[in-house]
Amino acid sequence: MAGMNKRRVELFNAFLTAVLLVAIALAGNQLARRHLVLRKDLSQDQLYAISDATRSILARLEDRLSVKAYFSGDIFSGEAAIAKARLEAQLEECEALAGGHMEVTSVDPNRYSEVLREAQSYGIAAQEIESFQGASRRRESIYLGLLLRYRSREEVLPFVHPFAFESLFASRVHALISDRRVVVGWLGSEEPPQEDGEGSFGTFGRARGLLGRGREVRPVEYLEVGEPVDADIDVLFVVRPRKLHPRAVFELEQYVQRGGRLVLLLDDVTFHSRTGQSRLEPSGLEGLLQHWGVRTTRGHVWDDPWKGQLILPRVVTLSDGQQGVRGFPLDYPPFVVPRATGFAQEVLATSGLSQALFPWVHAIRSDEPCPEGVTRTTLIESSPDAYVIDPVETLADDPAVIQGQSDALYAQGTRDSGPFPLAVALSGSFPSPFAERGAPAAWDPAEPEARGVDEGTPVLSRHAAAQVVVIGDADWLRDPDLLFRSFFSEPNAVLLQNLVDWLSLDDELVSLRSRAPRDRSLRDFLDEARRAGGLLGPVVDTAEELEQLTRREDAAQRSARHRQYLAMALPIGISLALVLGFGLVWNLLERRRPLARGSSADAKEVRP
Amino acid sequence: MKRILAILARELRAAFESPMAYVAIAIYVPLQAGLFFFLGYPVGRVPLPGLWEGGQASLLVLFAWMPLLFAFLVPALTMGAWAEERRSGTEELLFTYPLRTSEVVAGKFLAVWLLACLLLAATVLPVAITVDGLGDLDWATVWVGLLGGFVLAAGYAAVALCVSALAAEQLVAFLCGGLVLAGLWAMRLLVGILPARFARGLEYAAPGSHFLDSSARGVLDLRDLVYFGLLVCVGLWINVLVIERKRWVG
Repeated sequence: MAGMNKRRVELFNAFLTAVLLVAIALAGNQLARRHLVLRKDLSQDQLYAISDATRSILARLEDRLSVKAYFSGDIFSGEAAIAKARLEAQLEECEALAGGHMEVTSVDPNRYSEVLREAQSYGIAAQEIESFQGASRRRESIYLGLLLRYRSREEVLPFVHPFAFESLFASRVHALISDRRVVVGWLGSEEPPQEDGEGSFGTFGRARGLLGRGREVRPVEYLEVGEPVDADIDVLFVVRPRKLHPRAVFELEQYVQRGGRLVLLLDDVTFHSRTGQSRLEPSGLEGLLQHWGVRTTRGHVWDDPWKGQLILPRVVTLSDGQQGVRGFPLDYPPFVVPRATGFAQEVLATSGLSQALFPWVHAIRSDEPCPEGVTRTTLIESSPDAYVIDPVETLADDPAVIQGQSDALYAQGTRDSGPFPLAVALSGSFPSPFAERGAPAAWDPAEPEARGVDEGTPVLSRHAAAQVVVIGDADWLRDPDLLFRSFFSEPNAVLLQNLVDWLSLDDELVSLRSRAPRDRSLRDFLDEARRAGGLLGPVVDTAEELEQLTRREDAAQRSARHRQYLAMALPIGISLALVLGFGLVWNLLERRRPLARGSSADAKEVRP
Repeated sequence: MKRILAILARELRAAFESPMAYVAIAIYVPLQAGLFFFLGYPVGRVPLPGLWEGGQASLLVLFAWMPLLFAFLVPALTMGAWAEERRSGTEELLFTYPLRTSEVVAGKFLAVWLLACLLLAATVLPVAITVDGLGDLDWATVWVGLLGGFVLAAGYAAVALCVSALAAEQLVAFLCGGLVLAGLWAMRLLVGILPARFARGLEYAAPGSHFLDSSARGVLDLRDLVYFGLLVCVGLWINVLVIERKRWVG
């Protein structure tokens, strides 16, 4: 009996000690998490540490920088909670680097309606996050926005993801302490404001309003009469251009030559929500885009896996017997909503984004070569199972018709393969298409159709490094209305802000922009095999030659695959040879001296 | 210390003479290479492509698989540490020597850890040299990743030894150790489906988080060292408690 009791006591003591040990480990980790923040990025790319540029910006703060974090308090989604924790850690790190010149306070818009109204007044919007618990799905509105105040200025980050935090935060702090505000130029064919529209500037009122926060938005006019784009415009948006005069195209091109940052939102189809009809209208930029190796498809992208929703108004009888209009959601594949894998994660403007809505977007063809010295990066793309269809001319509102069209497309089998680029960035020193033919003559009201050459205007070519972003859609910036209430939603606002921040970084912040991983491309065995087999650029005239070429191509592919297997076999062979060779030698040596060291069975004995 | 080294030498000698370690290594090496070169790491929110598909000189995929592969390799190295002693009856003999339990546990742990480190270096460095020959490899990331791998192996070895001390048979020790470590690895995958308060705790508790988010990418973080240090201490201490209990209570 006494033995039993002793055993129980021993067991209890062991259990208690184990629990205490685990508790000590948890407490130790908690302490380390808070007080032992010592982190050093030793990699060459330095992607995981606060950059020197950010340190330099924070060190230049002279007065107190007040950072108000509008973060949701009770977050259900695990991933969102981790993102919030990482953001808080990054803010703490910046606070420490600011040497007492930065103060962070946190408020929860989901808890207090006053805070919610304040957040909304600053354009801080929630993102709808979907999470799972077992089989159940849950959607929640999550706020991760920041309001920065410095002296009398304010800057807003509507929604920040930890991946993009540093560049966005540093660029906003930089804007606050700089003497000059970023100037955004706006050139677009304005449509009259719709009766039920909310924008004060017309169709793109909300987007322009958002751009105006902390920046100056300046209309760009009179390009066709020879007025150059203002030199102090940092980023120029050309929104749904229509039949631009050749001189206007020339002025835009020369803005790029002077190192400008141009965002082209191309939409050759104008859809009228009132009539439900569309019409095709060229932009006038086709020649210039072709010179840059960019071509948008005439048709729209139909993306069934990544489709968005269209809210269709329907007349319904309400409970009081009266008739009213109510919106019904309709899954609509021409409304493309790219998911996280559709956004280039290595580019700051799109890093960390997980959705945006592109209604009736045109794909950007990447089969055209870029000019020498210009690189093209795909920023956003459709799902791999998307199609390009003829331009949508009428608004189908029958789910059966839409499903039928989807089924028919998928049944075709042969098709253009996705993913289709929806937005691309061109960077580098652009050759001018006007270098040889000269500047087009300015528009003359007396002879509006005349197309001459202006000999007196100099033409710049490959003058300065510039960036051009081309997006095959302008509707993603359009104000929401009764029919299209999902347009210019919060994710689109985040994308717009990110684009401007990314493009308007000045020289001091270039190091932030260049924090993408260095290109570490591997040797291309297939390319080498093709070169060795003379397969690059051969001219084939006969069927026999074509057959021979196909055989050589097959041989090149086989050769490349063999070299890949060989490259894989090498480390396997070395590792196994090292380990097994060591084992063999060890065992042979052990067997040679059985008397001196005892038998292998004795080897299990310890000789302390 | 001398007694710990004697245990270490004894355990290493036993490991080098046992075919089990060589079988485990012969399976581990080609499996790791196949995953790294061809399959990639299709787990988590952002899947990573294999070396040939990704076309970039980086060992991130190799390191990404390490927490899961080690979850089975380390128990293969530790499964005999206590279970085999018990089966062959050498456990009683071992404790007839003037040794403290903590010294035996430390010696066994160091032997397994050293073995895992040697294996890690022998498998990662040839791959790194090959990849460096094919492209511009960032060697700083490789060294930090290796260091992180050593620390990860230490944490896993402490846990797996503890499981081996609890098990009566080698196979049971291997299966239970593998399950426990694979469970620790899988904790990171659950953050997407768990409520926030659990997700944050699980993410921090998972050993993979302290390896994949830092040293596998070339970042040294003191908090990760503290995490693995505490994991080793707690694992070994519980191991000592288990052995003591078995020794005295029966």
